Amino acid sequence: MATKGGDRAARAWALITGCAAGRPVAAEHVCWAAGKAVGADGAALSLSTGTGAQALVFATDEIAAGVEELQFSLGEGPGVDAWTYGGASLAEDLESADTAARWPFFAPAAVAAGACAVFAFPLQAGAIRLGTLDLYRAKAGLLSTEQLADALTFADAALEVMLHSAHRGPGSSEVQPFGELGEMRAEVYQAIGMVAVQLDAGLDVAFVRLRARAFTDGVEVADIARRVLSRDLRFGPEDPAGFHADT
Amino acid sequence: MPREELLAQVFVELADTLVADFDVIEFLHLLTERCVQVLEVDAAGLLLTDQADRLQLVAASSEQSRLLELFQLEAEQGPCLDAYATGTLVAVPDLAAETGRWPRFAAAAHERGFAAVHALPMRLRDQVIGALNLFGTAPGGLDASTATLGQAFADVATIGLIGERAAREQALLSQQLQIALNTRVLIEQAKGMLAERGSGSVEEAFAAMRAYARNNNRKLTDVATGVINGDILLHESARTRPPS
Repeated sequence: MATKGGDRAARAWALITGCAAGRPVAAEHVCWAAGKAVGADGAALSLSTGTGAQALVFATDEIAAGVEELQFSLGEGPGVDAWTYGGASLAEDLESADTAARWPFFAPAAVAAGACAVFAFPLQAGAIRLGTLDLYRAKAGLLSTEQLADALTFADAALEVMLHSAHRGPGSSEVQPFGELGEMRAEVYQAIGMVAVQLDAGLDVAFVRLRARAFTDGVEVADIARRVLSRDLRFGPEDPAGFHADT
Repeated sequence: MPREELLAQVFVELADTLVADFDVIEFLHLLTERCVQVLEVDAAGLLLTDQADRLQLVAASSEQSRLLELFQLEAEQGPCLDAYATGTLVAVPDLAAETGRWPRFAAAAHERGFAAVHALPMRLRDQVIGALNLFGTAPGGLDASTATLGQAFADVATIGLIGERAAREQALLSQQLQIALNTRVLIEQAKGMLAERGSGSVEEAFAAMRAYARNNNRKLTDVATGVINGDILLHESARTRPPS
């Protein structure tokens, strides 16, 4: 059943694959597409290195890269907040008194570097947290409700692309079209938890395997999740695509 | 207990939760449980906007999977979506009369034994951030005072969820909504991990985590994180203990 949310995800994916122009989808394509869709002047994607530090994966331009560098070195900024709190951090005017008080070092430095607005979105799904997608504008300005919705959708796409490239399983070298596997609902997240235990792996690996299985079977991810929850389907390390429990 | 007395008790309990270093999911879960008691309905659930076209369940009076499924369906069609879209109370005293309006939702609710539903918007300034849903197993409307109380619960949920600062600043509101929904996702993941480790159900897993959080004075979210990291191993005894 097509939902409005599904349409937005499909539009995002079309833009991303358009940017990829036949090449395998990667961080750079998500950044280019997100920047364009959200009306930003540039975008950057940074991932956590595991030691708490963040590392730049891709930036569309010097200013976007500069915004990331400033946040890494100063330890403050919208991206740092988005990562720390697990929610979007929106700074539509870095020259305002409010943001100057919030990020006393970052705000003036970002403005000097050419970014007067920065919007940061975590790449996350529950306990799975990879990094942030940061968008900037040279001029101050609010994100509209539509732009915010798009930005959140691109952050979800970025999560999928990054997870997939880190944990691609056998027989699924291509990133599955984002948004085509149905909604990520409560039972999907529960099933991800179960599969992580079955595989003795992280939630990130379980996330990729569950979606890969749905893609292979041509069904929605919620269908696979329900079979996992009813213990009709188990995933094992020796059979990464999952096999039927012999009940 | 007379309603006034119960209400006073619930008010004190919710206020206590809010002034403490509270856990947003535990707070909303408690609120939905108290809705059921005070408003004399059979189930309650809160759905929030994810700010990208969808409503998502953040808390329910029972973690029974069949009930959670019904709330999820409400994100696609039904009174909840209408209350969210219009910002007004949507009262459906007799669902059987509304099968044409919401065929899938009416059928699913009927199948689960519900005959009446009321959806109350969670309003903030000129926005609606979600809705509180009340289900009844018998047909019937809410009287005016119950409806007013229900709206008060929806408003308390709103302000408790987003906090005083976020109520004034749009940017913080976005952040708080996303944090709440992501926390719910984290709890779902922990439920799955715990159910698989202990061969129990996800409902039992939730009850075990909640009991552990209460008994050890920990936040539900921290307990769920501990379960995911493997720092908290809940024993079989804790899992079979009924939720307090």
